[in-house]
Amino acid sequence: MSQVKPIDPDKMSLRDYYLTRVRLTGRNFKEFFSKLSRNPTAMIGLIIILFFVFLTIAGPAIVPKDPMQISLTERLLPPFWMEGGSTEYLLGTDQLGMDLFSRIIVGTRISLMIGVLTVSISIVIGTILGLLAGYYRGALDNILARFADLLLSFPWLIFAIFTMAVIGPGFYNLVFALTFKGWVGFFRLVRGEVLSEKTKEYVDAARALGQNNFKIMAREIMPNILNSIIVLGTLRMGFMIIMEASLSFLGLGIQYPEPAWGSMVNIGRDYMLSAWWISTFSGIAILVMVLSINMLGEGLRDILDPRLRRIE
Amino acid sequence: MLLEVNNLQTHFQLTKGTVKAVDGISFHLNEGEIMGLVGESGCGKSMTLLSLLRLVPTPGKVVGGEIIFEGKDLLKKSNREMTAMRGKDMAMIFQDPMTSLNPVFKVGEQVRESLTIHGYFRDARRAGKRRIQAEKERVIELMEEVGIPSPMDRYYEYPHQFSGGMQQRSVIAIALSCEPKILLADEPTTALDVTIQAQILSVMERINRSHGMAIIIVTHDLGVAAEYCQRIAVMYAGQIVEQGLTDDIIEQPLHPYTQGLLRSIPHIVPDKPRLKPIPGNVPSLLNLPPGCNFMPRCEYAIEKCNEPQEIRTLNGGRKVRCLKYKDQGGVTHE
Repeated sequence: MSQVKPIDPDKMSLRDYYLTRVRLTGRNFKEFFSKLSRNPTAMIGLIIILFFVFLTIAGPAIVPKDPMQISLTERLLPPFWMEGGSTEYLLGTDQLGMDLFSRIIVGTRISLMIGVLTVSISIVIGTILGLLAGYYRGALDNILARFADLLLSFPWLIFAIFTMAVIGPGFYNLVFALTFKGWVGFFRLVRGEVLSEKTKEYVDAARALGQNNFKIMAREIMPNILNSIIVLGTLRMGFMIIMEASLSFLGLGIQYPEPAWGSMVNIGRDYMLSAWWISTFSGIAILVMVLSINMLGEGLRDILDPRLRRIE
Repeated sequence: MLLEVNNLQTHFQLTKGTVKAVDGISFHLNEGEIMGLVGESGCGKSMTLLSLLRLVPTPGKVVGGEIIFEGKDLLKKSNREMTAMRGKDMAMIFQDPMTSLNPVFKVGEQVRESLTIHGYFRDARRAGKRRIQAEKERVIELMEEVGIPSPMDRYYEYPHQFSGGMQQRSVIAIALSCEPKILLADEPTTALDVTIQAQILSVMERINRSHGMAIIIVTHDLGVAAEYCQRIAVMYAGQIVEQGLTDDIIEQPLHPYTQGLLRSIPHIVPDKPRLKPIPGNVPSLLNLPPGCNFMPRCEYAIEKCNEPQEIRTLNGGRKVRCLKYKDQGGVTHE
């Protein structure tokens, strides 16, 4: 028969004390998710995005039809609930007889990939350059900031159209064109935040402790500005998806018959009066994705904003 | 002598001209001693400390002098040697504890960080978890030493969950972690209220006694300096105007500026005489008078004060930058 010993923290060795402690490393994440679950806007956004992610991964396997299969005998069929529609083509067909429903599902992939790729490359470039420029200032900062201003002075769409016209259409060219200007936003955000964080005494304190410049940037300043980067990243993702759709709509992005939402809206434009469904459903897909990403972004901003967090 | 500073000059090259934030300062620090650097805002106290660590912010630059620490001139060391030295041989405490802790990390982890930087337990050949364990135990010890109650719980809290006094204690724990030989405290109690101020200073005094750690306290509060420091250096407009044992300076201030400072401290006594402020303002560091910096405000000023004044060493090792006194002697004129 064993006797239960009462725990007396004073008599415990330090080692035992650690063992009895709840692991707190995961606490930040737990706190984050509990706040997220209490934020309906962000939750709805997150669920829809997760659904889109699922479609991106599983899309080609679950679609009822081959999205690229042309059948000229079944051109411009209406959705199934309309007269002349059939359940074979749930949302109808386009002018080459390709199944709109399958194309929209597979088109998720391009939109989401463009969003994720452009934003993550932009974040990496913008953050590194922003950290360096904000931390070291000097000539490097001057050159980078002027170059960033130069890029900023072009309107987004004009710049993207110009770049695409020069390098030609295609998925990777599209990513290039969008990141070429996309990093500037992150650069300016990070640079500004570094400038303000750098004046705080914890940076001086780290230096007085013998911490080297690289570690001060990466391990002291960086965690303090991570939240802002995440929030801008999510919001920027929706924007990038719209940009991709716009360029594809203009015929400079992903080329028809590749299933991309933007080019599908464009194709449907010519049949707006006779076959409204082509443009409409592709447009709704863009709308839902961008809206859900922005909802998540707004929610994240509320959750991660340190000024709001302090109050609790 | 642990630290010797000779004719240290830190200048800020601005478009409007050169600001001599530290203009030829010389002092020394004995082992296990608490020294006070007293002066009003903007007289170059903090810049002196930052110059010692070679952390003067741009466009400032140490342009001359020498800082002898353990027989070597710190100004001649390479950047790498300097980085290795900071925190290990000389640590610094900053004015505002709220901002000198990184808001996104747990306090205990921040104390541990400095142990990791300088490889405090590296030689123990403890790998991974065991080394972290050893470091954590040391952190708990340190937190206990600076008087943080229940350090095991406090270890896992964030800076904003600490009060100002507890934050400053944590900052001291960080500074203490590698047992530096010199602790530089830049107005460690200015941001705190009076009761906490006394607690923090007594923590520092205790550390000074138990570790024999030399401390330089920069303060604008002569009262603080008088109570805790063995020696005081009074600064005015980038220069040390008077230096000596605390008791001597408080009982018999020699430089007119020190006299003025002491006269302007309020006392709680009935029928007190009115406080006598020092007339005039601190001169702009961009536009200093040609001779003695204090001359425009000095009641004893004479024609000869227009010439640059050397620091004079008097009997008993006191130093004063005023021509009322001559080397190794008494008063030349009253």
